[in-house]
Amino acid sequence: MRWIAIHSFNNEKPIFQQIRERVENAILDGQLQPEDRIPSTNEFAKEYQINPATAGKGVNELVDKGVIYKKRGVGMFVHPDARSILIAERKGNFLHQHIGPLKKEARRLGITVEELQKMLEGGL
Amino acid sequence: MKIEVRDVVKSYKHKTVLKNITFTMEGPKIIGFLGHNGAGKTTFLNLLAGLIATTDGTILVNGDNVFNTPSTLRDICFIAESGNFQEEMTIAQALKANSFFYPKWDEQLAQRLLQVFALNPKEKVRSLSKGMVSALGIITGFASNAAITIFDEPYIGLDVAARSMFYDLLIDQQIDNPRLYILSTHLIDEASELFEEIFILQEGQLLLQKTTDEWHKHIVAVKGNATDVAAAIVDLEIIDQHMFMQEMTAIVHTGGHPIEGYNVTLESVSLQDMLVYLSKQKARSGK
Repeated sequence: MRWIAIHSFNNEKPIFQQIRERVENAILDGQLQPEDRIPSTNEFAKEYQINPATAGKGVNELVDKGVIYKKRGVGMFVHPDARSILIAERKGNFLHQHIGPLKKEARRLGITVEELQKMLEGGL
Repeated sequence: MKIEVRDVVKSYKHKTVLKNITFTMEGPKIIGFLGHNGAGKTTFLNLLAGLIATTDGTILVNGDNVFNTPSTLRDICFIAESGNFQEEMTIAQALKANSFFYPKWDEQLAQRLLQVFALNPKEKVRSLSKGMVSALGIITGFASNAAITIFDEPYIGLDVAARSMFYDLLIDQQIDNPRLYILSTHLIDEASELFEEIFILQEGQLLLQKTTDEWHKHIVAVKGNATDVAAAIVDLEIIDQHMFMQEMTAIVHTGGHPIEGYNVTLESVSLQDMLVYLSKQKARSGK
């Protein structure tokens, strides 16, 4: 038995969404591979000390997207196409979620397009 | 399990504690029953447990009036803030007494939980610390196996580790043996993710009833400059609004309609913050 909830979440997003994103990031980073088993709804609920129904919502969204699939009586697994599905989805959001804020901050600081380009090419 | 509360009023000599409450609770589910001190929570839970009679209105459990149908009480285990056990009994005797009352009593679970909470069955209730009495209440609630299990401030005197054990137990139990749990607590931030549905009482009235799902869709903090926020929240019910360093934050009830196409940031609102906003709103409208 664990004594405290170690994996605290921030408050800005509903917890089911944060669970979904954690699984997605693990798949994109290669931590979870195709056909890997992912924890059940109940395991998520226990790990994060949240209502099983809430955990189920995050998991179901992944099933709906085709990122994970259920094998009856066995568990839930990473779909072979999961990575490509997620990459397509995140690329679609990239402009809005990352380039938008980047431009905003650059404008704030008076960084020119040329300077920005140099930074991008230079890498980290 | 279905609890139907219809037009319930509870008055004492000089004071009306519950003013015409109507709602339905259906389980299995973990329900958060919240409100400030004096909102009427404990009074309501006493009515629900059939311990006192309503002044007006009825409470039905699966269609039977709780106050007139003693048999329904075997399906309801109410662990109150205090006074659940007779002082001169030992822990073992207190558990035994409860095991006679609840037909689905789980003795194995009771024994296991005694060890989990490190209670000595031979000790008398009188000699227990507050936290140990709370632990005994928690054990009784879970072991009762009652279809409706109510915990009113179940962890007075329990430290964070013991409270975490309580949350773990609640989730385990809900997975293995789903029931209708009603949990009333002050420690809202700690417990809020356990709830599937939330009831908020305020000044003897039901202020809000929402599933956690509805909560995230309906109650939103909208942030941005004043003009953009004003445009985004036009026609919506505003619960709270404040300006800080040129940034407007509006807490709104969206009615389920998404806020899209505005230059604003949306954030979810914690249960604890919401209680504060709601009571401010109530205080303003009362003036």
